[in-house]
Amino acid sequence: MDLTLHVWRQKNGKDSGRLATYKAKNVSPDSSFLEMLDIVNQELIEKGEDAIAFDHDCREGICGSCSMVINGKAHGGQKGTTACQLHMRSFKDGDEIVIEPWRAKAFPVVKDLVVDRGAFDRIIQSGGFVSVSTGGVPDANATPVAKTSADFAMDAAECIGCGACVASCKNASAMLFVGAKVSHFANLPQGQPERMRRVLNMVEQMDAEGFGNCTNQFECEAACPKQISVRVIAQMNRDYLKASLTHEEAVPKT
Amino acid sequence: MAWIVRLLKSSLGAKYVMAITGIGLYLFLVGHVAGNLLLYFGQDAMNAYALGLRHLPYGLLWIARIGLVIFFGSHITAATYLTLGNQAARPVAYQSKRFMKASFASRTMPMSGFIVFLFLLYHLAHYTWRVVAFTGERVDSLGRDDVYSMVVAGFQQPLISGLYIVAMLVLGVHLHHGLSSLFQTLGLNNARYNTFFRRVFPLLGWVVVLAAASIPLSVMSGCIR
Repeated sequence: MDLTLHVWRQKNGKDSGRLATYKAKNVSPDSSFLEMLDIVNQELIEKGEDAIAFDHDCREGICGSCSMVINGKAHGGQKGTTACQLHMRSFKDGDEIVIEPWRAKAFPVVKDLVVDRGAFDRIIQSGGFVSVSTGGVPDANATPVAKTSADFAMDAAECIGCGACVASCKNASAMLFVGAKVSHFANLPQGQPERMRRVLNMVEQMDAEGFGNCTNQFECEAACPKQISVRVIAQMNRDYLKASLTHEEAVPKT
Repeated sequence: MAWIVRLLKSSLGAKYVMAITGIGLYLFLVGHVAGNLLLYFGQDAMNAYALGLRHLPYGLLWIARIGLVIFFGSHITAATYLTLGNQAARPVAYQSKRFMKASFASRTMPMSGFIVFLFLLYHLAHYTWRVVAFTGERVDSLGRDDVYSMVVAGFQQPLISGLYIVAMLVLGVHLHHGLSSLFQTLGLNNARYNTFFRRVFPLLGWVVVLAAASIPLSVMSGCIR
């Protein structure tokens, strides 16, 4: 296959950036999208040009590193697929492909397609800790968890923090991500002691990072490579409302 | 009280304000449209209703008016606050954005809301303040303010009727998303009820706006005269 790529090139955070056009020739339909970029990069390196910078790590859809908007859709828009697991057979010979980085104030571009997703790390940090007893390993079923609760928690825990929800959202909102992290613990007994404080702090940090606000378009759900349901956002909305109205922080006696 | 400020300044707090005031404004719309459907029952029914509204006991009319101003004001303030935040959250636009799931109604909420707001001002100026397209005070045979004839005379002008009908369609699009979205905002997302939230409730908006749009249509077609 021969393809024409329009790739966002930006030297650093201060550069304004632009789309540059490259030809990708003799691409195997069996290669992955990132392998196709590897081939293009190899040619650029051989010509003495700067290779296209993009994030990648596991290349098997579990690390959440590969972040690019392909033809206007995060990760290329194939259902439940990260960019690394998108294959060139999804494209046709002669296609033009536009590749852009995630666009959000909270995700500043580092270089080309690489963005800084440190905002997600800070949100997770703001969630704090869970109280877990240390000591001997407890019996496997010592803490009963209903099957449905465990399922909800595990569905939320599937989030790989790739940022496709932010990238695909019209408002660059991170609420699917934060909702997933909130729901992950809110549905497990181990997450209960800090549940109210966690949701308050994480939402506050999310707002401070400059993400947008959810307008319930559910575009994130469609773009999420882990197909996380927007019910996690509803859970966050519910918990935050309850926490705002009822949660009391302990005040030390003076 | 710091918790209230913290709640209202947060993204979710502002969204709760949108949802709760949205419910209130929708209920007002239902009452307002239902009341004005009395036009179909003739001049006497309509004028008696209008007179009754103006002479509600215990100053209820003014309580309702102040309540409406607070609800509209909160809804618009929160919408502006959230929309400005949304625009700031993506300073550099995509060159090739394509939507996979977001509906037309959901993507155009700020615009449809703004159009409805402009229409609201026109509607108030037209029939409440009576400063736009007003054709003089009318009194019916019992000496009451003749609201019936005023509305009929207003809607006999095709441009004004057209404007109302278009505005109602825009409001229908706004409610189509709003009436379903508010449940998600308030944390109600449950497989048991999602069919109602996502399929049935948007229709409730259309029922009301189409009932409202039927009034200018009926006047134009001569069913109400």
